[in-house]
Amino acid sequence: MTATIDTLLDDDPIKWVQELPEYQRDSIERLLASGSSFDDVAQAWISASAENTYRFAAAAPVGKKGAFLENLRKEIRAFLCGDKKYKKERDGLFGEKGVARTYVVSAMAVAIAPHLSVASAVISPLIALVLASIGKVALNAWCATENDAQPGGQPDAAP
Amino acid sequence: MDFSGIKNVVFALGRMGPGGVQLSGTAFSLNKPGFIATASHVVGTDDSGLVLAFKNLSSLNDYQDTSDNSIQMMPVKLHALDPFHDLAVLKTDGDGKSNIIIGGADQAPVGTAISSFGFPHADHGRMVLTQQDTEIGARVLIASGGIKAKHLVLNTQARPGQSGSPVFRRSDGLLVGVLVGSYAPGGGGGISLAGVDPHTLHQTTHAVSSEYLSKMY
Repeated sequence: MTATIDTLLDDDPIKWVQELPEYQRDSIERLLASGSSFDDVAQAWISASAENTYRFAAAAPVGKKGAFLENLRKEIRAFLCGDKKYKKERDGLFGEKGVARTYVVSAMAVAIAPHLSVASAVISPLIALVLASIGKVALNAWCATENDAQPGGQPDAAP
Repeated sequence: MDFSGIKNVVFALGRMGPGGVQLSGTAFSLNKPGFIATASHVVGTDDSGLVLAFKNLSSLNDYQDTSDNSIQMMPVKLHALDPFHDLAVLKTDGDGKSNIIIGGADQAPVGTAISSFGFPHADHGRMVLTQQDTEIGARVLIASGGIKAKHLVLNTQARPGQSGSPVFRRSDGLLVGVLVGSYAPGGGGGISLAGVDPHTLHQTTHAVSSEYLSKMY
């Protein structure tokens, strides 16, 4: 069932970025061209704030940014590597053949957003950047590596 | 330029909570049905409970009753977010739209007369749609997350609640910017006197070029 995502992961990682909407892609590609890694750009996306500018919102922004990216990575891993809470969405996504990257990113964003109490539009580019950072690797191999790195992080079912 | 119809274009943005609606900033209708623009930091990362708030004004010249806390609301959801340029596009289920034409800082050289519309002091619950007229004092590049973006310096003082306010060229109503804050060394926030950061008490207000909105919806 992982053939679909494996096919996408086996391609050039930059394609995850190239299929983002233009207004997101332009800034991300500029940062990548300046030497930033996919992870650097994801962190910049989360923490961006105009320099030397006091913001005139009337209330503190809603949403915590501190460990946000790390929490998102955990959810992406949970989605891709077989966590039960994403079974329905994962089966739906992996059950389709020839899906586009934009569809994968969008489907994952919609599934993951409620678990992080964020809007899916916020995390779509971040999901693309995290998937790009995985690089060319088979999904099962990536999941195994992640599990080795995180004791106790066993999936509930094989992907 | 006649801005008499602005009451149908500019709204307060707020969030529903246990105690009612807490205002968070200003938003305005774009030129496609249901699409609304504001500053991204007004929205944050969570759009749950987000609403447009407005009062039944017949004109901007109405005496807005500051003791009348009744408001009308319309739910909105986040459609697109660009934190590098501090912009967000929201979507309502309605089909309202404006006739705004999106320009940008390139069309507002230094000295250009502009008008902005927003809700100053909304942090205290004050909801008064207010026009501010001034001129462009400078055009600057401000970096955010490593991306430099075009900004306008407005020669006026702004207050909390005005983030997200549209900035129009007064001669023809072209949208040239979206108000996002004011100059403050290090972003301010280090000192607070009665809830006011003294670093923000000046007439160097920042508006990001509205050109970045055009690809977001």
